[in-house]
Amino acid sequence: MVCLISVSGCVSPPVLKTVPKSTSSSQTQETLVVVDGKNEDNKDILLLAERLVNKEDKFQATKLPLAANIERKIKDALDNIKNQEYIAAQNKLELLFRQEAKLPSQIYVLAGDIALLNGQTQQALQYYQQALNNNKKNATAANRLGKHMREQGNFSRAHALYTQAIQSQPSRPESYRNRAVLNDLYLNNKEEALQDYKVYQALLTYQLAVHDGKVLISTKATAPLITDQHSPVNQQISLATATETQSKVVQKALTDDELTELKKDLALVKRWIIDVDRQIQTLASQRADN
Amino acid sequence: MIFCLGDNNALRIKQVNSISIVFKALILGSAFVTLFGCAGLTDSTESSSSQRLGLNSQELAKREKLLEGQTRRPSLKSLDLQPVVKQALDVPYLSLEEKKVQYEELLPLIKDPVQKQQVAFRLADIKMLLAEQQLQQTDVSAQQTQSLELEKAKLNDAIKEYEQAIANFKIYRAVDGVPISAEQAALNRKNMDAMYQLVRALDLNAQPERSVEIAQQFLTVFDVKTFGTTAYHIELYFRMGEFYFNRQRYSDAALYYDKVVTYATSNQQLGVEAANFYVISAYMLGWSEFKLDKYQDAMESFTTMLDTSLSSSSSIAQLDLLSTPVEQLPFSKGELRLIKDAVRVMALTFSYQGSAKAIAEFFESVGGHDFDHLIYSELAQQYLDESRFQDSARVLSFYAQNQPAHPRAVEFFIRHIDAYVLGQFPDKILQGKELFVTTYSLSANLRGGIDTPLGRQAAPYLEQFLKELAQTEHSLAQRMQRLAGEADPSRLLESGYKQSFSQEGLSIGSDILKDTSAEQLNKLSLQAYTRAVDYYATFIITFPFHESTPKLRFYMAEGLFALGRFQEAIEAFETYAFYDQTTDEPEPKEAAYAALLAYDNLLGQEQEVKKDNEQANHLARLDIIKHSYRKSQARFINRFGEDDRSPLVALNLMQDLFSNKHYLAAQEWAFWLLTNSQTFQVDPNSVLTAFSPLEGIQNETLRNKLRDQNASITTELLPKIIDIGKQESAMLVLAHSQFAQTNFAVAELAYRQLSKYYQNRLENSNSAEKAQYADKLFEIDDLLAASIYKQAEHLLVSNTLDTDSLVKQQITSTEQLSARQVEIVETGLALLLKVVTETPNSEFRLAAQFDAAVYYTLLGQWQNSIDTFIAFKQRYPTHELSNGIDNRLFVAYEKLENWPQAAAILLKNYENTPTTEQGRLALFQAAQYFEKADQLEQAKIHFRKYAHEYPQPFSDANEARFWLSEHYQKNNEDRKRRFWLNKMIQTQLELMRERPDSITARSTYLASMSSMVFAQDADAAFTKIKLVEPVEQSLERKQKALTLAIEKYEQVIQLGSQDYVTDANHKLAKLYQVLASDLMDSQRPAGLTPLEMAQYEILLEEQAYPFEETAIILYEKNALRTSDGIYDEWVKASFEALKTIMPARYDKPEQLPEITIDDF
Repeated sequence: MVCLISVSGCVSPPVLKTVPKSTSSSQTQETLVVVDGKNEDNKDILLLAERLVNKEDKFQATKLPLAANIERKIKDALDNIKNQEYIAAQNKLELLFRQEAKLPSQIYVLAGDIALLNGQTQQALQYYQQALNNNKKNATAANRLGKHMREQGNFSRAHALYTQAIQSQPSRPESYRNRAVLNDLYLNNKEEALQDYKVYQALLTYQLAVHDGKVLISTKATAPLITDQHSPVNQQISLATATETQSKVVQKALTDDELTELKKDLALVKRWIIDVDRQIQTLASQRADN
Repeated sequence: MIFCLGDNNALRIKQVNSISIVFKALILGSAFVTLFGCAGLTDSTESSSSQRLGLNSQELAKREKLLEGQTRRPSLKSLDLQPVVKQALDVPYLSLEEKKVQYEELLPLIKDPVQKQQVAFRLADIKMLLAEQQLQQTDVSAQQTQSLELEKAKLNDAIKEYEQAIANFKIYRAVDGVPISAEQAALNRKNMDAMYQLVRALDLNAQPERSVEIAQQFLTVFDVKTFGTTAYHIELYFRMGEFYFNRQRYSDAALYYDKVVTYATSNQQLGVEAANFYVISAYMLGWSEFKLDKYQDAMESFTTMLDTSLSSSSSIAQLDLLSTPVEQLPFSKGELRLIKDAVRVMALTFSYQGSAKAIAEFFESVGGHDFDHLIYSELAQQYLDESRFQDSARVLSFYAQNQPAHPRAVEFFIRHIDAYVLGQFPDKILQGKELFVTTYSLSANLRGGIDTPLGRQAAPYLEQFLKELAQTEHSLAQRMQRLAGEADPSRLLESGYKQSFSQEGLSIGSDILKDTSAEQLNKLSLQAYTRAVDYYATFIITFPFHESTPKLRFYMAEGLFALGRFQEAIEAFETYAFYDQTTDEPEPKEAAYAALLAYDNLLGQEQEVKKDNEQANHLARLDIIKHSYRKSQARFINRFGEDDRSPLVALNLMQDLFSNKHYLAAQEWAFWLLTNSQTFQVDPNSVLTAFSPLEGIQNETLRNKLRDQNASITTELLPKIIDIGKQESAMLVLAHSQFAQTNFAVAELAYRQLSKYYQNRLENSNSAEKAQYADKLFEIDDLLAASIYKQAEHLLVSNTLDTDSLVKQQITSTEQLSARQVEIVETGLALLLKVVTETPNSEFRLAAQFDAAVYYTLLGQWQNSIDTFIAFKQRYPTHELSNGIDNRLFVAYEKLENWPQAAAILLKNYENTPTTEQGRLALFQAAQYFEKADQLEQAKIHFRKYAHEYPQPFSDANEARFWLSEHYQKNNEDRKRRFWLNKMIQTQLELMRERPDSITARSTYLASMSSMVFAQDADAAFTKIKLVEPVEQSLERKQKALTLAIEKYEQVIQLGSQDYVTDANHKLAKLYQVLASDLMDSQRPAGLTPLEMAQYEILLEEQAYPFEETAIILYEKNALRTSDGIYDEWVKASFEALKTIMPARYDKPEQLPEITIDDF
């Protein structure tokens, strides 16, 4: 019997911190086991999320290391943002741009966000695009550009950017949500929207489970527990039979705000899933009637 | 004379001189008289002879006259034999007398008969010698009686001695084939000698009959058959002939003479004796035959005689015989007399037989003989002696013509002419000279040239005759020519010409009498010129280095000119002028100038031919002539530059060169005429630098060479004064040539000079000249303008910046040009403007001004372009170029954004062609430009006009309507606006019904926009209605308003413009939403109980619900348009509305978490 670890509390922002992957061999593999006797239904969701979390984060793999001096300046800029000192934040980054030849792509995303806060939409878009140019695995930038494309009515480009974000950082839930909304409202692609909503839901659920300490990492497995898949629709999730060896609890605590927000989002997405599912069924029946 | 017996040498001397002896004997003896006295010419014989000849009395008289000279005619005496020179002998001297005595004493003593006979013969010979001695002494001593007696005694003694010797002599003959012995033969010869001597002695002793008898006996005894023909035989034949001739027994005489002749003729190797008697025998035979009227035989005999006399002598070369008069040949007087007599007789004979022709026939029949000319000459002389000048001339001419190469033919020709001179036959003289010239000129028969014996003979005569003939014919030709020009030639003829012609021997005089028409006179004149030219030419050819040759060449050239043989005339004139180096009159320059005149005529002649013959070779010939003419002209000027005519020649040359496009050369002569010009005050140096015709020559060496030539021309031979007119022409040619060579800048300078010059002339001319100079000035100004214009054109064309090239290259602005090209355009423009300003009245001003305006346009100098175009149009309002100016102005106005002016042009176009497409567009554009000019009232007027007048094409009409709707909207004229909006809707609906293919996005948009206005009007009306009590009533009104609004929005949707469909869709949805909301917010009836109120609320909700549902459906319809990529503000608005109405479904914002430090 596996040891269930109950994880309580919620974190915000709803960014799932990935579990560091072990250098597993064919004989040994870290296996996530959700131990939540209250809601067995979550198992599938958690397994899906676990699989995604454990998928390679290409952005992490490719991003530039952050130098201390740059980190300090970024933090200063973030503080400025927090204090709504957007111009100051912008100046800091621009100084950084002039001083440093090579910077992490994420700095450009931050610069874009600041530009938006300063009402400089085009400038912001240029920064986002610069970030992607520096590192095309930057999901943060892809999501921001994807939303802009959607607002411009360029839905296909938006779809591509969201997909790019998902593939770069599969564990980021907002990418699935954004693509789901696009498919749902603007592309009228309800089935795909439903799947993305579900992944989104899974990742949020996973975050919540991590927060609650309900996720156990097992270091032994007899076989691959989750078949690889790229499309959530085709995911087949199977529970692992964590029968032996070592296990550890992964816990990531969320702030109260984060947790509230997480739960709110979870509640929303559940409704959306229900509504979309209903629409699908309605459409199916309409098609059948026709 | 000495005979040395027994001495061979002496014997030969004797033989050689035997004929002399015979002659002497004849002379001394009485026989002489009988032999050659008048024996054969007694009256009776003469009479009979004359009768046989058939002569009349006059002819007989002449014949007698000829024959009366019998004493003068040659005789043997005339042989003038001289005694042999006495030579000393070494033998002991014994006189003949002593010898005779000794032999007489010896003879009886000799017993031997043979010896005795020999001594007897010797004694006889000695006695004969003694007799001869005596004979000689008698002759010397003038025949004293005593001496004659002594002579006779001695002859008798000798005769007696011979007769005795012969009597005792026996002739030995071969007997029975046995020849005689040598001794016998010697005795025979001795006997022969003795008999011969006896004949002689008897003859000397005046016993001719006895002598002939012994001679006959001799010939019988010593028959030639047995003894052969010896010298004795020949002599005795001759003596027999003489004997009979003297006794007028001509037949017998002829018989014996003939024996001599026959023997000589048949024996080529004649003995000396035979040869000596041969000639005289032939001569005498001839006479004998003549006496016997056997003229042919006589002529043949004389011919034989002459042949022998003249050709047998080795001392006379054949050429001498042919060329030298017989008197000058080395004949003795006797021989000469015989010859001349023979000739005389022959000539006389031929004179009866047909003169020269008979001679020719005779010699033809007997074969050619070297002396025949003697006969002709003699005959001619005989005629001349008889004053038969023409006969004489004819004989001479006959021979000369038949034997022109004979060494004496020239002499004969001259003599025949002299005969005519003596006889005073001037026409014959002329003809004779003509004949001579014809025969002996180099161009005729004088082959081998003048430097031959014949040539040297003929030369002086040729020289004289050719000159005379040429000048006579030349003179005649000129007189004919003058006569032809007279009104009444016959009068002049009668008054002097005819006589003149006669005197000159011109038979033409009689021809003129027959026909005095100008045509005939001209014809005769030309014939005479032709002959004159031929004579001149012959003279020149024959005597190329004669001192008269140059002058005659000049005359020949004149003749050739008169004949229209200009090419030959030119050659002759030019040879005279440039090669003969004569200083005589006429001066060479006259000839050179005459050559130029001949060229003029030659060209005229060739051009006449050209009319009928355009063949290439003819044209090539014409070119060659022109080329030569120019060379000749240049040569004239170069050689005779100081001559007054040189400027005229230079002028003609220059103009010809110019007209034939030889501009460089034309300019050279223009320079020549201009150098030191008083007309243009052009310094030579500046001419060479500024107007140099050499500028066009790229080759520096050639340029320098030509410059040097120019310098030499201008400094050496220029006449002091060249008149203004020629300098004016020169400057014109200079300018035109520069122009033609595209040296327009230099041409401009030249034209400026001319312009200034004419301006000056104009100002200083009288009223009569003013018009002329004004015209010239006008022309020059025009050319000045052309030269400036061409500079511009050349510059622009060479850089492909001319207007045509710009069009082809689609260059419309300086932005398409390089800086260099812009610079070129500006330079060209400046030149064009120069034309306009400096030559305002020139023809080129038009093109220049127009082009200038065009280039202003290209350079973007719009205001200049406008000003220039307007000025052009004002100046040339009817010119076709003015027609297009409005369009160019329009462009300029557009560029300057002078919209009112641009619109004005457009309106003009519209007004001009309102029914055309161009007119329609112009009106539309005009309205637009009024709008651009912010002249909105004008814009409105013209858009409205357009909208009314041009419903088609509907697109432009719609735009006009749209503009009007917008305009009225701005001016708050809603009713008017909606009028035009409705027009747009109706148009679209009509298209949808009838021509859906014609629908455009724009028409749809405008119709939708218009329809939207009406929808919003209805919407506003609907919104305005509040649901107040009583609700039913207000609801009914509202429902009606709703119905209208829905209808309008649906119309918008139906019209289908995306821009308005989503708008209408959204607003329609909102309409329903508002209605539902209004229902729910409607005033509640008063006085309801709570239950009733609850029921009322339920009722309201039930009523509002369908409206809300409809609103949702319509919003969602809009939202669904995103599937088609439509996401405009109204779609977004619908999404926003749906977010409110259905947040669970539509309020789904994207999530973009704030970035944190962890994200780095």
